[in-house]
Amino acid sequence: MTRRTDRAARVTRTAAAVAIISVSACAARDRAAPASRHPGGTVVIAVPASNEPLFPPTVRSVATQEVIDQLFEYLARVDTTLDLLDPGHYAPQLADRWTWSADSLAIAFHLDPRARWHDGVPVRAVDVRETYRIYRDTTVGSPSLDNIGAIDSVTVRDSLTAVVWFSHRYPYQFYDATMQMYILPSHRLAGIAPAALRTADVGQHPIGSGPFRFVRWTHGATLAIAADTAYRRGRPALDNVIWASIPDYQSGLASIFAGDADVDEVIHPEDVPAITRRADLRAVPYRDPSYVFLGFNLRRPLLADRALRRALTQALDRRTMLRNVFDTLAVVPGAPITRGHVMDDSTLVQLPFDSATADRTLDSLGWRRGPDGLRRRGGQLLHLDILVPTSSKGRSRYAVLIQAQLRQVGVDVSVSALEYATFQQRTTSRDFDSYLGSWHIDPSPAAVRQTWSTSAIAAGVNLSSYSNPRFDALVDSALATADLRTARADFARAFRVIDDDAPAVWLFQPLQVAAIQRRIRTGPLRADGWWLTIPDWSIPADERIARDRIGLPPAGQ
Amino acid sequence: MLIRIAPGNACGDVGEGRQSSAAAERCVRRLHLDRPIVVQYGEFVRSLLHGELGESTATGEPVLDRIAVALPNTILLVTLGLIASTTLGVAVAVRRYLAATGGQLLDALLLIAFALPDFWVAQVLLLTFAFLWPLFPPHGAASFGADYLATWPWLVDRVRHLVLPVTAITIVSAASVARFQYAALREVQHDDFLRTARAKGLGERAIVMRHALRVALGPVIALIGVALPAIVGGAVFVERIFGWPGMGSLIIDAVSARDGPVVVACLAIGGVATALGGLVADVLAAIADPRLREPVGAGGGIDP
Amino acid sequence: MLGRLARDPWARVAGIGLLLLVLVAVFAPAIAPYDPNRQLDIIALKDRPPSLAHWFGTDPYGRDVLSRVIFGARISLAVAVLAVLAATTAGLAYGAVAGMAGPRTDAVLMRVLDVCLAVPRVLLLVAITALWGEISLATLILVLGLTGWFTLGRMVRADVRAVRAREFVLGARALGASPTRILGRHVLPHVLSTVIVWATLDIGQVILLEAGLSFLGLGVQPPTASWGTVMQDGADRLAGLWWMSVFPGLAIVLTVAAVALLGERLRDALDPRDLPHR
Repeated sequence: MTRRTDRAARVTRTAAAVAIISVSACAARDRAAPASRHPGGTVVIAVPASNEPLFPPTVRSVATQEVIDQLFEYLARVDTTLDLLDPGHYAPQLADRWTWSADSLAIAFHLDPRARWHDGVPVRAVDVRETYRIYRDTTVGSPSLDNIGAIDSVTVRDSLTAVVWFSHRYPYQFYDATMQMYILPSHRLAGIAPAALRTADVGQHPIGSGPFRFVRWTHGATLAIAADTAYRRGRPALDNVIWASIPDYQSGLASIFAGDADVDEVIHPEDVPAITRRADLRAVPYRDPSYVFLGFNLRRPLLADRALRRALTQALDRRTMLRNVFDTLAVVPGAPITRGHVMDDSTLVQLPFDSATADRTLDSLGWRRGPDGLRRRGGQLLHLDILVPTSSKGRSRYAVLIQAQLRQVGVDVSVSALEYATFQQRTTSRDFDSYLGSWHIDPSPAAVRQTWSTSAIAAGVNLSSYSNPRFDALVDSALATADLRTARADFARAFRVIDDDAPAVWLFQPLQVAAIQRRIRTGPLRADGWWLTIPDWSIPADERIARDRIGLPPAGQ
Repeated sequence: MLIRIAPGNACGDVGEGRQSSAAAERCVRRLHLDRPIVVQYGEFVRSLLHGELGESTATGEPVLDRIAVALPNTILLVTLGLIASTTLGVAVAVRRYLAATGGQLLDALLLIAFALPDFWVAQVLLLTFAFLWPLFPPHGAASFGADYLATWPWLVDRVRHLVLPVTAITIVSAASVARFQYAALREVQHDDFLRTARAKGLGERAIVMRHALRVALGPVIALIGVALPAIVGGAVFVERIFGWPGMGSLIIDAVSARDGPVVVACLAIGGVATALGGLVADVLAAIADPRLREPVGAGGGIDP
Repeated sequence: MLGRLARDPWARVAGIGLLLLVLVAVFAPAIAPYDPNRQLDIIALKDRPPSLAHWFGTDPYGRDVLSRVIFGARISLAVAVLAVLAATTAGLAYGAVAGMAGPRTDAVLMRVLDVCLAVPRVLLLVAITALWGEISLATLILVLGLTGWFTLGRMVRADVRAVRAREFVLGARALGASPTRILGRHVLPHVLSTVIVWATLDIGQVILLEAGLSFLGLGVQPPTASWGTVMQDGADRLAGLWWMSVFPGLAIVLTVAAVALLGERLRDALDPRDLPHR
């Protein structure tokens, strides 16, 4: 009973969101003309450059994932209801049908016989098996390794049928079997040692099976893909999609205004009025399942102290900071999960703002205020450095606000603003005191384990190096339970543990607004990734500009 | 060399915890950072002469490639800026020299223009002409996908992208040129030429103009040698604000990415290019000098 | 000489203006209405245009811009003056040594100077400030100073050599006076006017450079207020926060203009020689 109500509520909520977005998208269209049947058009997306190889198992950043999702496919993908628990709500991708075994411990996927890799080789079941082997290989270092832990093996029944075997039954079986692994071309990866895969050429010139094929990547400048005319379900309407690197937020805005870029995925609320005033731009709100946090490096002796971290958290007035930066267009998460997620408990609040207690705690830890108001202990200044990427305006703002708030309780804070790629490098190598990080959360709650559990440390995702066996155990049991209510209760307990430990301070989850050039017909955007509908985007022939007419690059490029 | 001595050198930044220690060791050995400073400098000069500039630690490409892309853009910007500011500056200086009234106002305007921070000018231009009245593109040297355009639209696109950055550079440099030129002009004896000119029966205005221009040209060439480093330097801010993909943007990006090899290479190239520019200017001045001296002597002044 | 200067109306205006500025900078804590780094009310006082309570408006973090500009004067002026002091010392020393030295040493020193002069100052500044890691105020001052003395070194050396050739110096040498004595008693006073003029003009340059560096994030670090950082704080809005661009910009322009004017008048009064600066 509870389960269905929950699902209905979720569906209604999602449907409402989708409806609002599509209504506004419809309203934005000033012509009633249907999208042109003539394919063509080039869409330029302004993003901060990421240097991650285009190798699906090791992808960690959203910028890279946007590209991966155009080039590669899952066996099946959840539809817009985002109901992960019901296999009936999945749309076929590489698999066109599937059957469960009687004991629900195995799923047999039948592949679409028309599916081809971009080099013409047909997609076969052996690709699925090899994909699983690669994802499972610890030397590859995939952050998804943990998530497919319940999958025992993948076998090949015949050339078009692959069977996924599970070690036990649990609610997310179908999700894990289909949406944790992008199917890779085994014929391209054979003969390459798993540890070398990440840096191999396959990451620089990927071959996938998706609606777009890879064209060219100029590091730090542009990444171009083009429509695969031989795609079995019909080629996408667009010819080209180009990701253009922007050094910072301002340049991204400038590019959109100049018409150099077509999509800027993060527009700060303060700049939205400027977008809406332009006739050629649309401000498109979309649900972005991501949250931003101030992550502490628990390997630093100063920050290994739990009481200190709690004091720092209590010193931050998160609601007021949110109002300053986002006005009403964001919420403060109460746990390392996005609000509105099925496992979220909206009553949770992480260590409410209480500067008096923070002061007392710091005093009791031996940090005494000096004449300049800053605290010292044994001659050492209480100092914290925060890493911020210049690509994010919201985070840049927060850094300055946090600096002032922590100063009020006597903590000296320095802000290191870095270019995005350097920021990535510094954080993944754990060379920081604290950093303003952001996670894009999958609809699956396994994301919690993927981001904050002990096993996530080795996977290079849990950069704070937070490890609490109690938290791990609660999350594991929550993910293993078949009953939704027990799962939610377990998660609530787990969240309370991590909130109290304060390895990070949950700061904000924004309602995102993207700026999109009007001539691009996008349709409603998906809540689990605005870029997922790019294959369906189109540009009417009579609204095309110069770069829309450049056509497809020659094959083999 | 200074860069090598500075704390946090290229591999030091790269080494301490930022990369695995093995990678850091390799990096250090490759850049010879474990040898004494003098040896390092020798190595550096040697590799420079061989055209090996190493690899960018940020993108992994050879540094030479990144510079090869950025340098022409800066040269374009700086050359146009130089021509524009010199022309405008000399014109204004001559105008001021000839002006009977309103000179004070011009002086004041020039002083203000001289005192303007170049990044401020760039910002104001950006806000005005790219956002408020979108006449010109605010970013980059060319639009994305410009490579696919036909020749004429491509040319127009490039020119449109050039207008704002060049204007920004010109406004401040021209003021400086103008003030310098005007000071130079003032030194010359006005009256002698007038007397001689009147004696020769030429119209006063024409003679003054010709004379002023002739005198003005002399220091100009020398000025180039001095103004060039200034313009190249000022271009750094302008490039950053307009996203112009030149050496200025390159060095700033490299610096925020702690990309030692690129920064060092930029400095070296920047220095060499500027020195060359100055050298060319000196040579030109030497050539121009004898030619200039003649007409001045013949036109009047110390002629009996 | 200085009397002539005092009678020049424009020089007087510039001088008085600068004096006022110095007073403002020195008495900043008394004059500024608010603490420049205090985020007063990050919701209600965010991005307020100029008003009676806040003459220069507030910034995105709720800080009073007028106070930040006043304290910014402190930082910007202090950095500039100290940097120029450092540069002057270096330039004077180098130029004096080169000027007094034998021809071969002099040639070597001058060639080194030429190399240093070739590199654009801004590039050098950008590179050094960033590669140095932690950019403290002291580092900034040092770097600004040490990249700017080259021209002065050249000029001092030229002056020193010119004076050396004069008769009274030759006479002193004939009488057996030591080089240091010659330097101190005869040469330096003549060089002083060059140095003073150059220093005055360079202060303007350094103010502009510091503002530019801070604007790029490579100079004064947040939350400290300097004219450049205030402009940078307001830079990420599209034409929205004009008061954050106009007021510090105006401060910079007026200061640099006043300094340039004063420097030029000083030069005219002390020694009519051409200084192709900037």
